Amino acid sequence: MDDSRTLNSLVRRLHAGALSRRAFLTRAAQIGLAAPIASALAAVAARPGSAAPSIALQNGGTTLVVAIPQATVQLDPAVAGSNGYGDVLPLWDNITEGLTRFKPGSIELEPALAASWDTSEDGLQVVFQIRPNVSFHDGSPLDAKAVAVNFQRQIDENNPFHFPGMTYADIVFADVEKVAATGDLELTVTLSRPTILLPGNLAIFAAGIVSPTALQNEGENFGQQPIGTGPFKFQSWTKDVELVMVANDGYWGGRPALDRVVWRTIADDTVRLSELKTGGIDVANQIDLKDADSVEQDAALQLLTGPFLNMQFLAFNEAIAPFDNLALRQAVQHAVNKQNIADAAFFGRYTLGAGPIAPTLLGYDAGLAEVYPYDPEKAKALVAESGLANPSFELTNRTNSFWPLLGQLIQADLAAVGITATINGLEDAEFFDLLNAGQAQAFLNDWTWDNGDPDNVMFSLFTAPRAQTRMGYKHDRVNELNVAAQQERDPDQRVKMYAEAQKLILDDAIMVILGYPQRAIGAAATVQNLQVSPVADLTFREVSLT
Amino acid sequence: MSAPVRDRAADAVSLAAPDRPRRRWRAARRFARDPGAVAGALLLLFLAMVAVAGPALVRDPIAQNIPDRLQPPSATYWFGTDELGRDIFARVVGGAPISLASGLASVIIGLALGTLMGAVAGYREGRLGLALMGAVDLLLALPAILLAITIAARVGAGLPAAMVAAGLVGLPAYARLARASTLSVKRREMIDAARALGASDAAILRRHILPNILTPLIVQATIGVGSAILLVAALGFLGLGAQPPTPEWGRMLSDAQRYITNAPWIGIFPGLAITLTVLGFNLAGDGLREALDPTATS
Repeated sequence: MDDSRTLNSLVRRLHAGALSRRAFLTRAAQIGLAAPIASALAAVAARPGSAAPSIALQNGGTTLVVAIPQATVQLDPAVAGSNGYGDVLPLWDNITEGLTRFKPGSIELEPALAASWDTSEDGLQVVFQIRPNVSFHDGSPLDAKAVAVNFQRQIDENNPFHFPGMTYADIVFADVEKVAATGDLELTVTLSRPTILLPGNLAIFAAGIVSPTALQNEGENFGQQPIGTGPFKFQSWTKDVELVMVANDGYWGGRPALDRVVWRTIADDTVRLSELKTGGIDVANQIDLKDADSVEQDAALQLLTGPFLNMQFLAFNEAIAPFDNLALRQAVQHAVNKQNIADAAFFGRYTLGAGPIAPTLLGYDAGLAEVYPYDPEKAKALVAESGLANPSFELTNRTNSFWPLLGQLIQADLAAVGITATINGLEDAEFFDLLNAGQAQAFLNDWTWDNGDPDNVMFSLFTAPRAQTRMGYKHDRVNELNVAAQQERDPDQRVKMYAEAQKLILDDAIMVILGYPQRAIGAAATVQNLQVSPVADLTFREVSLT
Repeated sequence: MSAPVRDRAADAVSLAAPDRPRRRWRAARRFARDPGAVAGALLLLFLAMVAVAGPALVRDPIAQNIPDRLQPPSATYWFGTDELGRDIFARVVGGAPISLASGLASVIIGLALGTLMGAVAGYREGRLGLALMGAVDLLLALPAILLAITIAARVGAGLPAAMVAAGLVGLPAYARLARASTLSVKRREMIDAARALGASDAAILRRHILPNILTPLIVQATIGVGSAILLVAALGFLGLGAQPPTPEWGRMLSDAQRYITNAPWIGIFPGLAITLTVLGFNLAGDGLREALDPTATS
């Protein structure tokens, strides 16, 4: 399973001039790597003076090597949402920044490229004061016009810089009607209704601001060499091998302590961990929780953990049998042993499910766990009450990661109360196709917050059109509350609204809230100030090495 | 159907040729003197017994016991427990009938279809033969796993899909073998004799050609069971074969991967089971080939 490592070392030696091209090819052929090689060779051929050692290998300066499980496809923040975290992590508050950002390790919002902002009395206009004296990595200045170009290219499908894959535009710029530079450093955003979510949404990676000059010069090629304002500048990228970024000396927030950060993709959890243990990398993102203890006990390493905004659930489709039956839905609620899931799948690093809103967020209520306590006897009684003899259904589940484990645990719990679940394991694409066709009787899924607002789950899961297509769920009062909470400025009022909505959702028993997993990062003991982020970003501006 | 009288007459010709009982006896003696072959046969006998009687004697292979999860091998759990506290010994034993049956079923699918296509193609060399062998060559050109993945993706993941896939992957070998043997058998005088006596093509194929080409096919099939089991396990490993919680060995191996550093026993035992089964079929198959080789001297 270490093909990637072998290839990496070969490529490094080739770059360093330690291997002739022919020797490289021979050896690569021996390890059976036909495909990735052509691209590696092409990359070498393309660089001037290919005998020069790769920047990542130079001694001197502090280099931090970080491994993530996902592959990087392109580096345009507006498009990153359609490819996943391999694109998102190197960009988000590292190479590019938004007008706002989350404080490290929290969901507390703070100014970033906007020095401040004000919302008009009627809530329909938000005026941002752009931070002065900030320039992009290519030297061009940041001003309100540059920000407007960035927003317009996402909102306006006819904009010349509107590229395929801007899937997050609908989330980030929901309810945005107009964007205009109303001064050199003043940007005015007009909303179609007075929602309060814009500043938080602008902290999402997809709202990262890039250089309009670079967009003009590179066009659709921009994603190959991103230019932002962040603490790190893009340096080089050998696809599927490594991505290098270096400190931005002129960063407005002060030069970062690290001289360069090298990103590598190591998909296999076990390989990523062993690379960390043998010193091949300094940071391993997403440690399998079963290995958390062994990282914690290793004196040369440190384990960074924390909750991240993720909620796992078993959802029912109440539009089709058998879960059009409320008693049966309630029976499943009492039948599932959430503690078993916490122990067996997440090794105790798990908060048992209460309501849809995850811990640390406004509106989280641990007391909601008491609505459906684990009670097999009660579940059996509810099955009898449902009037269904030997109820059975197909449980649609994904085949990767911990999902098969969750499916089997739930299957056994249900068997114990007389409900037969057959697991229908599907790859991601097929899985979502079936959900979106409204044909899954019940399915296991999760929701990860992109911003720090409860709206991100309450509206998206229970009010947005997907509530009806996937779960056949439509509740007028819940919808009313969720929409009103988007416009309510008083946090206490919002808590009340979400409390009522969560209660109604639980009464309908439309999904079993299984729980909220923790997230773990493994790092060398020498890594300082790195934190687990609730929204799953991985920023290095405050990180140093001792 | 042709008239039975003529068929029986044709039989007489084919039966008159070789001295079958003596040849079989000699082959059996050669097999028994080959230690590898005997070891393979004993291994298979043992596995067959486990597959038939075993599952009734062990714990429930899908019963979970969360407090006892990830236990190393002990007196209680001979092979340890997995991530859901299931008894790995029970799962390995419970997986034996599944793996053996899926291996045998795939080979029967491949053998039946392959022999039919090969024998017809050999007997009718013209356009039909070319078309049949063209189709077989097309199958041969595809990498086994890729072909299997395509089939599994087409009909949906599951054990039946994996069996059909493994069967089709084995098909070309049988088809080519059947065709080559048919080509040589059909030139024998007995075939001319049968035809002279009025036997139909179907009767000639069934009564005269098939019995004479069967030996190499059976040898190939015995070795093929091993590869088929391996392929079904590989598909299970890739998530395209048996679905959880079925105790299929390949699936167990793939689930064990995550725990390779923490609890290696989860993967070691199903791995050993696959190894022993494939070894058994290969040894027995090799022995059978040696024993039945007409050029070998006793």
